[in-house]
Amino acid sequence: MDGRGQMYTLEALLASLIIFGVVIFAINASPQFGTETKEFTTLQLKKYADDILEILDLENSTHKSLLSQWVENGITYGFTDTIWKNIEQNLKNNMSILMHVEVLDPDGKVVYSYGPNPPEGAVSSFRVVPVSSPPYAYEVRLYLWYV
Amino acid sequence: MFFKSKSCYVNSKGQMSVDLLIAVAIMVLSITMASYYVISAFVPYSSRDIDLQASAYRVAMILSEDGGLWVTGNQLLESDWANHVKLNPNETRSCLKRIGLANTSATYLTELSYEVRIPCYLNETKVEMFFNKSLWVRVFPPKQNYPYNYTLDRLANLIGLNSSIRHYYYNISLRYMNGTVVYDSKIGKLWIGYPLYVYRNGRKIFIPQEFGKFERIVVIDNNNSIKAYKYNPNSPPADPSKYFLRLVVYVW
Repeated sequence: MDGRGQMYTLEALLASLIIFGVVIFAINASPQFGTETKEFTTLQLKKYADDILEILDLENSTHKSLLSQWVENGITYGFTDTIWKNIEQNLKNNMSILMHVEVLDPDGKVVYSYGPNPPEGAVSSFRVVPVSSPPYAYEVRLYLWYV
Repeated sequence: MFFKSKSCYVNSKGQMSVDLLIAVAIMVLSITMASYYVISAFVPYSSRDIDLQASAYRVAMILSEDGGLWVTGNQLLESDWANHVKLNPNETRSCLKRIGLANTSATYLTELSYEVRIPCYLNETKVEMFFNKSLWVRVFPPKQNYPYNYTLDRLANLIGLNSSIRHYYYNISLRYMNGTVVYDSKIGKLWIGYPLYVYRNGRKIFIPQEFGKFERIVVIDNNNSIKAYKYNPNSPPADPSKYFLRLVVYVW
């Protein structure tokens, strides 16, 4: 710096750092209008998951559903992937959504899982499915997230 | 060069004084902080898209989870509005209080409620009535000198979009999972409301500038004229995803 307060390389560097800091602060300090939009995106995924489980759990005239029959058969004969494979393909191809599903027994132990592990931020929904033999309630949990 | 005074700011070599730099930094910082605090105070009132999202969610929820409300007399409420709505426009105007597309099962639960709603399981008759534009024109004939579309405004009131405070535009459609609008052999494509696109010079332009959108996944109970698979819980399919449809709601 010379006698008139004028600057050279070091000062210019310092100056650019100050300006850069101010800009970063300004960007971070601006009000977060996107927060609610993000919440609705999460809500949308949650509702997709709710709806899929709701549809699979539609009761028939004997008070059973596709989901409850699938769980009962799975406990007795072993779980099959077909239903979830088709849903996974449909969601992935048409809506760019990935899924993971798991079934938890009454002790909370995972007895079936399908699909890639859900990342942090995946949205989940669950359905408690009563089965008649043995008379327990199993939990079917569906995770969804955008590709 | 552009300041006359020798004592400050910029000299003829294009160099700046540190004082100016610090002053500018403090000024920018102050303006940013001031605007941050001022704007934050008005966030709840300034963002219209939050309200639009909530409205779209509400409409999607009412249509997919509710069976509708037809008031037949004092305290007598039913959800089979689709069976009445075609008969008498005058009766429809006074009796139809809410439109919902979900099926209901006539199971007596309590003295107050004798219908159980079945969410996401849409009734074909209700769907056909709701998306029938000419039917609503008969029920709510267009009014001259009304600033908006009177028919669509009255319909909006029945699906949870109360336009008395703010006027809403909306577009509701039933779509296949790939996004194509479902076709019905009686009434054509199943959408109602204001168009989403306008064509200008051969270009397709999306109309809403700021909008709320919400979707629900649904199935339909019958396919007499709707070109979709009908879902029957008594004979569940091996591939239920083939039966999935999307109820898409745009509000702007």
